[in-house]
This record gives sequence, C-alpha cells and structure tokens, in this order.
Amino acid sequence: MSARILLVEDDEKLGRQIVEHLTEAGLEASWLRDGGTALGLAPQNWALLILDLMLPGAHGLDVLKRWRSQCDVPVLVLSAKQDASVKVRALELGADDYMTKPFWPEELVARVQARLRRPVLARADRVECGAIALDVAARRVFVGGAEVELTKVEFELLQALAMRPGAAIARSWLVQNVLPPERDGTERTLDVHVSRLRKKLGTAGAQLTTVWGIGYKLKSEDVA
Amino acid sequence: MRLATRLALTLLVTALPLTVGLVFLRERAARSAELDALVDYARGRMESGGREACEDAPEIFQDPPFRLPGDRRFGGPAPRDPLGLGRGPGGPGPDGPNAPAGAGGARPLRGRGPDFQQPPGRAEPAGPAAARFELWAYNPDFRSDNPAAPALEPALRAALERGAVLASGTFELPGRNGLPPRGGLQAVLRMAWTDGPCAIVLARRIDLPAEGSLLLARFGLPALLATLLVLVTLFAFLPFVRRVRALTAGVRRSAASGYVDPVGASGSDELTELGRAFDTAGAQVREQIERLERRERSLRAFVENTTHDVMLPLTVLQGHLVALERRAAANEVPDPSRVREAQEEAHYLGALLENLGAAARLEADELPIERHRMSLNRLIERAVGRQTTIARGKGVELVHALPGEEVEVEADVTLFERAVSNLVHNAVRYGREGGHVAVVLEVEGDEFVVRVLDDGPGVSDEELARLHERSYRTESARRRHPTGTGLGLSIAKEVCERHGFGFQLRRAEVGGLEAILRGPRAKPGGGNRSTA
Repeated sequence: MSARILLVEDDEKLGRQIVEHLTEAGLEASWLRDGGTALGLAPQNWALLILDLMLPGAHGLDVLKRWRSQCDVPVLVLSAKQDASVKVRALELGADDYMTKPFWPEELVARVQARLRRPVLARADRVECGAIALDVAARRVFVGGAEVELTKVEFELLQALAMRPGAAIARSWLVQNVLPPERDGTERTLDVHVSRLRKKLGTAGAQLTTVWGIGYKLKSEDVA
Repeated sequence: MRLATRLALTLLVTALPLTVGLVFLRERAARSAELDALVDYARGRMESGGREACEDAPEIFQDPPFRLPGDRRFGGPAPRDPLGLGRGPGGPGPDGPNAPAGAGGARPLRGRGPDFQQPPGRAEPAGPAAARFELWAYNPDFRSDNPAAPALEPALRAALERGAVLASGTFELPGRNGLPPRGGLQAVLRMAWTDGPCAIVLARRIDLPAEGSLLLARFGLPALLATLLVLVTLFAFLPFVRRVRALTAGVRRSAASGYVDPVGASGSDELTELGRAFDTAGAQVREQIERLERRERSLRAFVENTTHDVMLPLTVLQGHLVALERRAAANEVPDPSRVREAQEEAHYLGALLENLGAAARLEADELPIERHRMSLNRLIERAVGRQTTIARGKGVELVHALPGEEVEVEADVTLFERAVSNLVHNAVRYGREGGHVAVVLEVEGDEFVVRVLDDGPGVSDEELARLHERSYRTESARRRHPTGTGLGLSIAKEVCERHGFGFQLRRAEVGGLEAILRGPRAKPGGGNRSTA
C-alpha cells in the first residue's frame, strides 16, 4: 500500500532527507516549501500531512487551523522549539502528534506508519492475528482453520493479547485482568498458563513471544 | 528656581503691592476724613458766631481770632476725626491751648475786633501730624476785606465760579521768620448765605512738623504687618525646604547604594509618605535588579556550560566523520561501530542541549511548572521512539508496554517528556550490548507508574545513594559519567520533584537499574485536554 504523504518544510536539506526516507519506506511523498501555498490546498487529498511550524508565507499553526477546519486527515507537526506552549497549541488545534527536532529519520517513518495504521479499537466479534483466529462471541479459537480447545483462562489470555497485536502487555496487567481473582494469581501462574497456551497453539505458538522486562505479546505476522 | 528663592520672590511680589495698596487706601480715607473734619469745622465755626464776628469786622476777621492766653470766648464744635489719627481741629485735647473742641459748642461770640486776632503758630501742639486750623472770609467776588487774608488759589476759585459749593486742595506756605515752609489741606466753601463779606470761607489745616517720622506714621503699621507676614511664612516654610533637601539627599544616597540604604523619612506628614514611597519603589527596583542579575548569571552559566559541554561530543563526532571519510576515500568498507558511535554522539548532543535547556529553566524559573493535560501513552511512545535508532545500533532491545486505556497526566509537556527520555536514554546508552531496556506504563488506582528498567551493569548501593542525593545544580555536565548516569538523571529527578511526582532509583530484579516515576493521573474528563 502506498499512502500519499504531504510534507511542508522550508529547509531544503531537511526536506530532501525526509522525502528520501519516506520514499525508501515505500510511501509516496510530495513536498511543499512555503506556508502560503499549504494554506490554500485541500488536505483531504493526502493520507497524512507532515507540517513544520516555522514556515515562510504563513505560520504552521495557521495552516494547521485551516486544514482542521476542512477535514480530519492526520497531521504530524515538526517543531524545533522546546517551548511547551507551541506544542500544546498545536495539539489543541488538532495536530495528532508532534516531533521535536532533532529526530532520527527512522523515528519519523515509524511515527508516520503507526499513524497510518492506527487501529480502531472496536470490539470485533472475530479477531485475526496471523494464523490465529478468535471467534469472540462463541469463544472458539482456530489456528490455520483448525479449532484449538482452550481453557477459559487460556482463551482470555489469548484474547487480551490478540486485541492489541504486536503490543507488549505487562505481566502485572495480565495477572490482574485475566487470571481469575479468586485464586492466587501470581506471575508464575501466568507463565504456566502462557506456556500451556503456546503449546496448544502449535506452530502458531511462536507468535506468542516473551518481552523482556514486560510480559508477552502476540505478533501479528506469521512466524515460520 | 530654588524653592526658597521662589518663596522670597512670591512674598515680595505679594507683600509689596499689598503694603502700598493698604497705605494708599488708608491715606485716601484719612484725607477724606480730614477734609470732612475741616469742612465741618469751618461750617460749625461760621454758623456758631463766626458769621457775626466776620460781618461785624470783616477787615480783621480771621479764625482763630487773635486773643490772649486763657481767652475762650470763641468756641465751636470740634471736627470729627474718624480714624483718630490726626488731631482734632482744636489740638490735643479739649483744654488744649488752641482747642475750642469740647468747649460746649454755641457759646456766643462776643469778642470782636482786634481782640479776635491771634498770631498764627502760637502754642502749636507737639507730636506727629499735629495740625493747626484757620479760617479766612471772602465776599462773593472772592475778595477779602482782611488784608492779611491769603489770596485764593485760582484753581479753587475757578471751581467755585463754575458753581461748586466746595473745592479743596493742598497748599504750601513759604518759610517765614526762620521757620521752615509748611503745607496742608485747604478747602474753599460757599456758606449758606450768599452775600456779605463772609459768603465764602477758606479753611486751612496747617500740618505742623512732627517730631517722629511722617513716613513711619503712614507706612509703619502696614509695613509691620507685611514684614510679620513674610517672617511667619518664612519660618513656616524654611523647615519644609530643609526637609525636601534632606529627602533629596536621602534619595540620592539610596540610589547610590543600589537602593540598599533606605531614604529615611521621619515624621508623619506627606513628606514622610513621599519618603516611604521612595523606599517602597526602591525596594521594588532592587528586587527587579536582583532578579535580572540572577537570570543573567544563570543565562551566562548556561551558555558557558553549554559551550563547554557541547564541544567534547562535537569533537568526538568530527573525529568519527573524518575517520569515515578516510575509509570512504580509500574505498574501504566503513566500520559500522564507528558509524554507530558517531550516531550516538550526535544523539547525545541533542539530548545534552535539551537537558541544559531544561536545567536552565529549572534553575532560573521561579515560576511554577506550567501544566497541561496530556496523554502519557503518546509521551512514552515519543520518548521510546526517540531512542530506537540508538538502541538498534547498539544492539539493545528496547521494548515498551502501554495499558489498553489512555492514561492522562497534568504536567509540563517538555520537561516531563525530557525526564522520561533521559531515563530511557540512560538505560540504552549505558546498558550492555545485546541487553534489554523495557519501558512500562501502568496504572495503580488513581496513579500512573512509569518504570524504566535495563539489564545493564547496574549500580552499587553506595552509587545508588549518591544518585539520589545528587543535584544537577552541583554537577558540571561533564562530570556526570562516573556510573554511567548523570545530568540526565538529575534533571529527571528534579522535574519529578517540581511536579510533585515520585522518583525512585533501585536495582532491578532482572539486574541493572530500575527507575520508577509515580504520580496522580489527571481526572478523567476534567481540564483542557491538550495532548492527543
């Protein structure tokens, strides 16, 4: 998927670099150098907008205001200022996030990509995560189409992880929210449950990984 | 113009015309009263026997008549002297030698002829403004039958000829028999009877020389009053002038001392208030100056520290770049560890500048922390994302976990993000290669908890205690690496303290260091949500 990104940045070197890195990441980037022009364009033609605040022609905050009055396309603000009030003002005006210079290109691309696929946390009846599929209503789990029998705790553990694929979930949270409260819920008990679950999931068990210092996560991609 | 000069001039300008005006008015009133008295005297004398005496012997008539001492045949009413300044027409008292005054009015004028004669100038009363009166009679043609009568002044005569009943003026008598010249007031008046040798009477008031000064008599009282006024005003005003001068000197002294010395105002009037107002203003100025000086000192220190601290990593970075360039020029494969180190130095530079900025703010700002409601989830993502490149380069696995819900906090966006970034950066920078760093945001009741832990070399108890005690204020930014931690941690600690958040460093169960930040969550829904 190639999403169209618009960058508004007046600095030649930085602008060129950002476009280069976005393009390398497989994104289609256009580049505007002044605020005046940015003020007049239709933001809905892009999937995401990257906006520098110090611009010739018009201030970034004014551009942001104008865009926000037209549509809700995500806007990532680039700020060179440490001044909290500018960031706060940008967020108040509807910016989705900001980055303070200096930043690494990798950081910017990651932020753009995260923003583009921001998950909608709607309560889906059916959750799919790589080879694993959960029928939440019926409380059934399928791996590669074949149903896997899970205990109540195991199912809820898997569901908790699958609801936020790729995100590390803290052990403490899982102990509190997944393990039955009546029993002595300890992190050791949790680890036992996870280990059983992993075994039951078979090949897909590799998707369920331990995260150092935190807990567990369920990777969304298939792990061979 | 000086106050005293101005005062003196004002008094002069006021008192002088006042005195002159008073004297003038008083003179006019006195003159008018004298004339009235003279006319009254003349009419009274003529109507009470004078006419008869005159008509009997016009050739010798003159009043007072010549008579021997003690002869009081001729009396008349005394003219009034309303101001009491001049003497009555009869002299100093009812029994004065020349005084018919108080003699009981209409005593028949029996004597006539030569015995009516009286040599002028006899028995003149002494004292200032003493005067002698005399009457002369004339017929309607302005001629007198008495050859001794003086000729009427043409001006007075002309006035009467034009129909006036009374004409008055002054006159002068030439010196005679060694006596000095004399003058006085004279009036020519028509009598009620229009014919006969006494139809017109000349009345004269001859002012006798006073022993005292006439000037003093006339100007004395007003001048005295004016002088008194001037003196009283000066006495009242001069201390005031002195105090104003003292106040001026006090203000100068205070200003010269940089507003440390008070102006010093005693008493309890407006001048004292002025002095106190100066003191208050001086204190404010001093406060302002001190604040500016503090700020300037801190700013100067910031610039010095920054310059000093930035040069080292910059030098290291330049060294890396030159090495890389040499390798590239020689068509050699660049050393990846060199590239990574260069990256780390660049990254460190950025963090250092931000920390020095934060330190300057924490140090110089007496203002309270400016809080905004913001999402801690986003903040953690930013702080972690910021270190991802460095962690990857170092082979450190940097992971983070957020709760399923949004956790909001009210904090200074820049400072708090700096604090969290510092903890993550420290963990990555000083963690071991191939190690781990985990950042966890959790919720415990109404509190948020941010934990940053690593499996690096960790710290000893002793070092841990030192880390807690340390303040960025006492740290030169470059002396911060003894345990692989430093300015960043100090800033993080101070930021938390200023926010009222908990800050704890401890040895992690997994080995390495664990930093724990803890504070109240922003109440859901309340406040202005400013961070997505």
